[in-house]
Amino acid sequence: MKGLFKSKPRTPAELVRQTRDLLVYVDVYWNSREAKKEEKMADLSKLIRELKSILYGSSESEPIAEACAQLTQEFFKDNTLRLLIICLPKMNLEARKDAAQVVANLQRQQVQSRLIASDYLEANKDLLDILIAGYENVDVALHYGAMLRECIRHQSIARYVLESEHMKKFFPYIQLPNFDIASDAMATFKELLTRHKSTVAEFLNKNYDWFFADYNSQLLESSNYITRRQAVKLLGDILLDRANVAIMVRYVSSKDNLRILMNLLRESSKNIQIEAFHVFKVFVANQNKPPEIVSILVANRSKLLRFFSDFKTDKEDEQFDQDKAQVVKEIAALEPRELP
Amino acid sequence: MATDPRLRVPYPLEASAYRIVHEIGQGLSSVVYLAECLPLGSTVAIKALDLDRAPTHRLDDIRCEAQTMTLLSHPNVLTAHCSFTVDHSLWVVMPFCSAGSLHSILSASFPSGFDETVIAIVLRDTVRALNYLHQQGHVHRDIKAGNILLDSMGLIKVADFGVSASLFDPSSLTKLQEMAGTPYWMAPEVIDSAARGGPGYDYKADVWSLGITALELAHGKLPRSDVPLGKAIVLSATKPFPASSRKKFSKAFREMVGLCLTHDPVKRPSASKLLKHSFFKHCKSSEYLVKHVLNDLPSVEVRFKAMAEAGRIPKQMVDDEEDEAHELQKTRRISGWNFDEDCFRFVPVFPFQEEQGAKNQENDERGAQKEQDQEINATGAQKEQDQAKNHEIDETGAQKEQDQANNQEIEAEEESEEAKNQEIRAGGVNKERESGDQEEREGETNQEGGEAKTVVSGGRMAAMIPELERILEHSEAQRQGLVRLVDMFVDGRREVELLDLLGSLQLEHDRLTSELEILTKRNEELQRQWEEATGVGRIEQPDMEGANPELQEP
Repeated sequence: MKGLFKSKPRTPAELVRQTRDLLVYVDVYWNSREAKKEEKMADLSKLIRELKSILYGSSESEPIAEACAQLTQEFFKDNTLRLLIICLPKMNLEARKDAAQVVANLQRQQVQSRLIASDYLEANKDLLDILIAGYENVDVALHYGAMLRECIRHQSIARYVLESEHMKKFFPYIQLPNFDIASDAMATFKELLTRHKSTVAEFLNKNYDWFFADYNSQLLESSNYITRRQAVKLLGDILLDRANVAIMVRYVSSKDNLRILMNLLRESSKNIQIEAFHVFKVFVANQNKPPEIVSILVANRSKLLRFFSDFKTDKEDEQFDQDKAQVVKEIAALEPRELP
Repeated sequence: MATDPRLRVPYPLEASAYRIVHEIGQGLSSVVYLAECLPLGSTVAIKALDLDRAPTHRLDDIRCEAQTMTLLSHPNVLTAHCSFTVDHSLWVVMPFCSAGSLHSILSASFPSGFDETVIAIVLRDTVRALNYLHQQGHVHRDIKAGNILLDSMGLIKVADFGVSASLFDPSSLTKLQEMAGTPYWMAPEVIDSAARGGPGYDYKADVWSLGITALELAHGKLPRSDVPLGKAIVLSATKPFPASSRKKFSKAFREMVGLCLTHDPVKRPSASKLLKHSFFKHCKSSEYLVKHVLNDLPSVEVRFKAMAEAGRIPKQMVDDEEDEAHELQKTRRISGWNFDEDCFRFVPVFPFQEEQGAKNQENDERGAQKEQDQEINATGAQKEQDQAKNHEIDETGAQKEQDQANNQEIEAEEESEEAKNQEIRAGGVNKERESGDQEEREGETNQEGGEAKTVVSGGRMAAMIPELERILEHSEAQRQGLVRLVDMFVDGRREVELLDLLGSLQLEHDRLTSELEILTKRNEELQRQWEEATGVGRIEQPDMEGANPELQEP
């Protein structure tokens, strides 16, 4: 009998409109002693879950492209995304998780083969500011973080974040004491610096000095093991990317950088040593080594050769062995350019 | 309902705020401690995971696990208070479940299993947890008594998300194509998808594992989990009802377990549907567990100590990598077992009992076809992965380059794994082969019995060769999946041991291969004798005519 009183199934666009109305209500009346507040919050949670099941499908049904497109279009027609982001801290845990998944999914939805989420974000870049600042709030950090990583898949949005002052904030975020939040910030940071190649190269060229100064002192020389390990791995990924050749040449010409990498080679962790080696080898392989680099290598020649004679990977790695042989050969053959 | 994290007590994020009391569990790369949180004065469990033993590509999984544990909120799911790094280690601070895992409780106090009232409470709470996880888009993938914990209030907590994957996180979709879990508890489609690169499995795999867990809770351990595979098959055939199975179970319980162990995942009920099953209707409350299970139970510390002194580190406290490695040695071919609801256990299916002779050629062809299919499936999986990647927004196009590079990396890794697999696989099938050999020998003894029997067994043995090959193929596929699992748990440092194992398996394999060769030759000889004696078979094998022209005269 219950079915008789069931309201007609609402269209995706209607669901979005109802969600938006409730968000407006929550946004305005949050601090008032409105009696219906609890009830409205419960309705809101339900609606967000419905949106999620349209976008992701459920155990009974696969998502329908047409419904997803309608939902997306309605969602970005108005300021629903802004309201959702702003109201997120007021929702309960389950609604927050659903909201984060909805926002993440919307970034990939195409309407008439256009990613309209990208257009919306470009017109509302301040939303990125809110999402990034979320790393400072334990309650929303992971939800905002998940949304943020999806947003920076759009090249123009990634460029905005890279060029903003926010880039500096990532260094402390990566070292936050909460492992789940710190590693989330690291994942976003890595995404920013590896996804859109030409944008990244442009950013690094323009911001070389401060960026690598901070990178070295805060990440590579961090007291935190996992920060050092992830940072040296990411450094290798950045420098050995073909798009970043100019940056690599600049990086391996600095004796301060060489000193830091040589210290990382001496770490007790094999994982860090191996990652450090992949950067160190570039210093050695550089055919135009500045004299100061040569003299450091020559001064440490016997120590380095002794070190490399015992330096092995746990698993057999042909590429590594070749690289190592080449590095040893180069170091052994070095001639000091200026006699002491 | 879910507790709001804003109402949660903030746990301190530095090691100095905790005092380690005891070690209460050990895994391959992690240790679990009982500890006191000094500022809050509360007892907690701390899982310390050595990050330096985790390969770089696993770090992202560890991040996801830590995040999952803080973002989940359900009374029957073990969540984390917080996590932070201490030097090389990641500390995950969790509520302390004072009674430990059900596996540990079973072996300490209930060696022949729990009664049904207890089982009903445990399973209902586990299904509730699964229902929540599935709604959240998570597949647990390693449900077993060792991962179900009990706290001092009699509350059941499902633990260990080390292998769980989220269906909503697109980057983890490929994970569902891999294999995870503990072999015996694994659903057939899990083994299949890992071995053949078939379609990914989903929530229903957890329901299968729940069914196996029910058997574990009812019998105290898994039936015949302590005997090697070959023996287990022979035992099951000769003595189908070992003593422990005389226990009586209600119809509702047997039916519920039977539903969980439905081979076809489509027909298997979901967790939410299972909750409505009549077995859970008159379920008692958690207090029953306090009275009937927790009373007189030695504490977790005492149990750990006793086992450590006996030279056995408990494998089932919270973290189970070690157990998994151990478990590999006693795995059997699940897809070849049928669950018998009435006698409440698995009954093996012998492929060579079903069909005889005649189909030789067909089988050969089928074998070849299967191999081809496997290849196609493998590339299919790769394609899916590529497609998933292509869906990603990519405005510069440069991303593709990276993806390609990534793929190459992955491929290279897989290749080396493959090489290893082949070696292990070669050795690993021996057990199956042994049992097959035994059958064959039986055939041989029959042959001595008399003329008529010789004929029968000769034909039967000829029919058996392709069947044997088919078994080998089956177990090869399974073995391949298992080896992937080993790879997940065995890191570089264990390689020496692994190589030793490989070496000995190889030797064993060579020995058995030559044995099989002799048997095959003998079989051919028998076949020939039989043909000579009867003149039958000549027509089926015209190529013999040229070789034996004198036989042409009838």
